[in-house]
This record gives sequence, structure tokens and C-alpha cells, in this order.
Amino acid sequence: MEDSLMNNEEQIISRIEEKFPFLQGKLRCQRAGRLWAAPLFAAEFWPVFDFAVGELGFDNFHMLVGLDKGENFEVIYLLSNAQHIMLQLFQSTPRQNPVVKSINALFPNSLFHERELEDLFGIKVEGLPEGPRYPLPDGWPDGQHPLRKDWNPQYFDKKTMTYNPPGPKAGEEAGGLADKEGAAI
Amino acid sequence: MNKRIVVPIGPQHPALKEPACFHITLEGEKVVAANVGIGYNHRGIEKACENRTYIQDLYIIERVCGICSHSHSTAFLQAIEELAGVAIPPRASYIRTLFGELERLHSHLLWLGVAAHEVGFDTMFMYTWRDRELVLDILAMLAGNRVNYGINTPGGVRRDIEEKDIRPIKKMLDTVEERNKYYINLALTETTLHARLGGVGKLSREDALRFGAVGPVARAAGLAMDVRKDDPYASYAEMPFKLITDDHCDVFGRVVVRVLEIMESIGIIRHILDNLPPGGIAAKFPRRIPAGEAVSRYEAPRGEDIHYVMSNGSDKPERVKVRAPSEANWHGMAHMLEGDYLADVPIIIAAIDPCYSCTDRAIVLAGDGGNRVIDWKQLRSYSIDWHRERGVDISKIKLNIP
Repeated sequence: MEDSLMNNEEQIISRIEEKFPFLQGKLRCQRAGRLWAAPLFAAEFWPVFDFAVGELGFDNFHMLVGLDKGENFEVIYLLSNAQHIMLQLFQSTPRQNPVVKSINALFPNSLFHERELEDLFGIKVEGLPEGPRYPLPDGWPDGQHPLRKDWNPQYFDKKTMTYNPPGPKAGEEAGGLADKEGAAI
Repeated sequence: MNKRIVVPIGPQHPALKEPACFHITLEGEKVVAANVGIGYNHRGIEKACENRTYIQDLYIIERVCGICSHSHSTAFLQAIEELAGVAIPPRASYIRTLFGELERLHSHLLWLGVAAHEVGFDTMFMYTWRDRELVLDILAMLAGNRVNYGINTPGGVRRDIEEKDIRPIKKMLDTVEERNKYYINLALTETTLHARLGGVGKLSREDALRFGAVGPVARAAGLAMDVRKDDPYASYAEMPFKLITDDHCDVFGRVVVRVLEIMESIGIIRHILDNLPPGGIAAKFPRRIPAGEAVSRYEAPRGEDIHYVMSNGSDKPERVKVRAPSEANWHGMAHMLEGDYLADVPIIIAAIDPCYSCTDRAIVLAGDGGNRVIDWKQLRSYSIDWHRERGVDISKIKLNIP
């Protein structure tokens, strides 16, 4: 049976490498029960994801993790199989136009994780069901995504709900930072 | 055709001391749809961790949750210990396991009380919370605090278990075991409890899988799922205990799972006390951690807790991500509410045991050098004085209540 073969990390790696030669040498087993894949852009990522879920039995979804890698954002999909081996698949998406496809139809428990990607990283999740935002409050300024590396909580004024980084701004002198810091207690 | 109305419940919820907002669509008294709104308590902990050292992060992470504080700090430390390549001493591993089980014990007793209260069974609420105090006293004796024990440190634990501590712990276990036998008997034979909770908040095995339920909610749907067995951490591989499951798939099943798990936790704690390995309690741990990433899993009282940590070679993490068990269980909530009555909503919500802190009694151990126990009245006047010294006189604030 195929399932009985899938209880070993090395076998899983070789199955994936065999099916997707571009992943040759790009999967690692850090310790028993933890498999890590290299980041891939959407075109290469989704066939690997579908293969892992549909054919390798990684049909238990745990969570999504967003990462700010500078030029690109990455989204980690944490999956596990019946033998409790965890597989971390990474999808890259360009910072200029960050978009990933929703997996909510397949895994209903991805909902809050996908909303988090939209709010905290500003990654557009296509196909996400309508609903209230999560976790930022209503009235949070558009375009402000706190988990991006260039977003500094020091420059956020909680009273006016505005983000005021230092630097030249139209009609405003640089150096207004001290006031802002004072206000943002 | 019945008229449908939408009842908003929350965010200041009548049942939970924690903000969440539910929009319940009713047809008569039946719930036909439910919308779960959470996020009122987002504190930006993940971002805060990126700007602080691993040691500072440990204190923040321990405060993710008041009840599961040990769960979060252990899950975080397991990840950074994997990254640093540090193995903790066996004695430290046993002590972490001991605290994990004491935490499960007091958390489950707390939940039993909350569940009983939600269905108007306040006698049981008072019984279980009385018993929970015994566990909290032991935690205060061992760690100096009732919750947020601060026992963990990178590479091990901060305080040892001494010979003199073992007797009071065993005495507490005997009492809690005796009383829990009564609760088990009550849960399994008391017909009114079954009549009130049976068939309420249904989540079938298939739906539990589909919505990614964890912990007692999943186990009460017949799923044999427990990180302590599936992906053993700390010293669980050496611990003798049964994985408790139940096939009721409702709130009643969640009661059964938790009362039976209390017995297993008692067994684990006894095993630890009788087999505590000798040796040190902490390994040397580097300040800077080599670049890498790790995923750590922990079976908190409410279910699987996952921490992801990415290090960049410095003394501060590049990214920390926490998936608390309640976050996983919220996804199935709307489904559990649908088809039930409005009056069942509080107990169904409470049945996943969403976290809230219970720190309104304090034992002051630091500050003026002496230990003292202060009651609620003293704590209140201490708070008023504390603010007055800083220029804010709370006693003069007038509330404008229309």
C-alpha cells in the first residue's frame, strides 16, 4: 500500500523529488517528524501543494506563517500526515504585488490565518470569503501592515490612528518624531 | 415561514470574561447561522518579540495566556532549544512535564466549574474551584506564583523540586483524586447533567477533522489526537498514561474527556515524583542563536499549541508565530452553534474552553522584600495609591452613567 510507504521522512522526500525534479536537494529533514521545503512561486508551488495534500496524505492543516523577506513575502503552510510528520511548504510572492490563493474551500480552518495575512502583511488572499477583518480593529488606516519589517510601532500614533514615519513629507518638517513619540504612549 | 432575527452577543460577553462578538441568526429560538468575531484582544505579541531578546521574549510569551502560560513558554523554548542545538537535562525535562500536568489539572478543574456555572449548576462550580485552589497553592509553593509560574528558562528550568515539596504535592493529589472520582461518577450517572448537555454543541468526527478541532473538543469527537502521544516532547515518551477519547461528539462528551483526563494527569504527576532523575536543572544556553527555523508542538490543556520561530543569528528572533489551541477551535464554533437553541449558546462557547486570565488575587513576593498575602480590598487600595503616586487619582474619577 502506498500509505505504508509514507511513514518515513526520507521516502517522502524522495517521492516529492521524483515528482518535481526542480526540488532536488531543496527539501530537508531537520529532525524526526519535521520536513522543510524551499520557497517556490505560485506556478511551481501549487502542484507541489496539491501532490502533498492529495497523494502523500498531508491533509491535516495546522497554520499559516507570513514572512517578510525583503523583495518577496513568503507564506509557510504547515501540514501533517497520519504519522504526525509535519511538512512545511513555502510559497513566495513578490512584494510589489503580493497575492496568494485561498485554501479556505479545502481547509475551513485556514480562515483566520488568511485574514491575518491580509491585515498584518498586506498579502491579498484571492478567494477568501467575505467577512469582518481580523485581527486589526475597525478604523485601522489602509495600507498599514504591522508585521512588515519596515513598519515600526514607534511611529504609530494610537490616538489619531495614523502612521507617521520620520523623513520629508509634503507640508511638514522632518523631525516631528519626538512629538509623535510623546503622543504614542 | 418564520421570521429571522439577528442577535448580537458581545463583545462584552455575558458569559465569558473575554471580548468576543457573536452575531446569532435566530428562527424562533433556534440558531440557524452564527458569525464569530474575535480579535478584540490582539496585543501585537509577535511583533513585540521581534524587537526583544530571546530572554525578554520568554516573559512576553508566557503572558500570551494566563491559564496556559507554561504551555506557551515551553513551546517557545523547545523551538529555540532545537535551533541552538541544546538538550535540556532529564531532571529539567521532568520538571517541565510536572508543571505541564499541574497546569492541565487546574485548567480542567477551572473549566468544569465554568461549564457547571453556564448551565446553572453552581454547586459544582464552587466545588471544582475550591479543589482548583489546592493545585494553585502547590504551584505557588513550587514557583512563587499561581499562574505565570516563570519556571522555564532557555536550557532548562529555574527552580528545582526539593524533597520537602513532594509530600504536600502527593497530599494534594490524593484529595483532588478523591474528589474527581466523585465528579466522574456525577458526570456519568447524573441524569440532569446529561439531559442538559447531551446533544448540545454537536461536532461530528468528520466535522472535527474538517474544522481542525484540537484537544478535548477533538477527543470528545472520537479523534485519538494528543501531541503528548503523537509527537512526544519533554518527558512524555516515558510517562504512563491513556489517551482519553469519547464518542458523544457534544458538550457532554467534552465533560467526560476532561474529568477522565484529570485522573491521567494525577497518574503522570505521581510517576514524575517517584522517578525524578537526579542531576542539574539547566544546561548552558547561548545568548545568540544560529540562523534557522523550527516548529514546536505542545499539548496545552485546550489542545495543540504550535510555535514557529525563525532566528537570524543574533540575540533576537527574526519571526515568532503562535497558534494557540483556542484559535484552532474557533473555526468549528459557528457549526457547533447552528441547530441549537439560543439558551445553549453560552455553554457551547464555553465548551471549547476559550482562555481567560484569573489573576485577581495576588501574592506579593517582590518589591518590599517581605512576603505578604493581600486581599481584594487591600489590592484595590494598593492600586489607587500606585496611580496616585504617579499623578492619577482614580478615586476622583466620576463615571457618567446615563
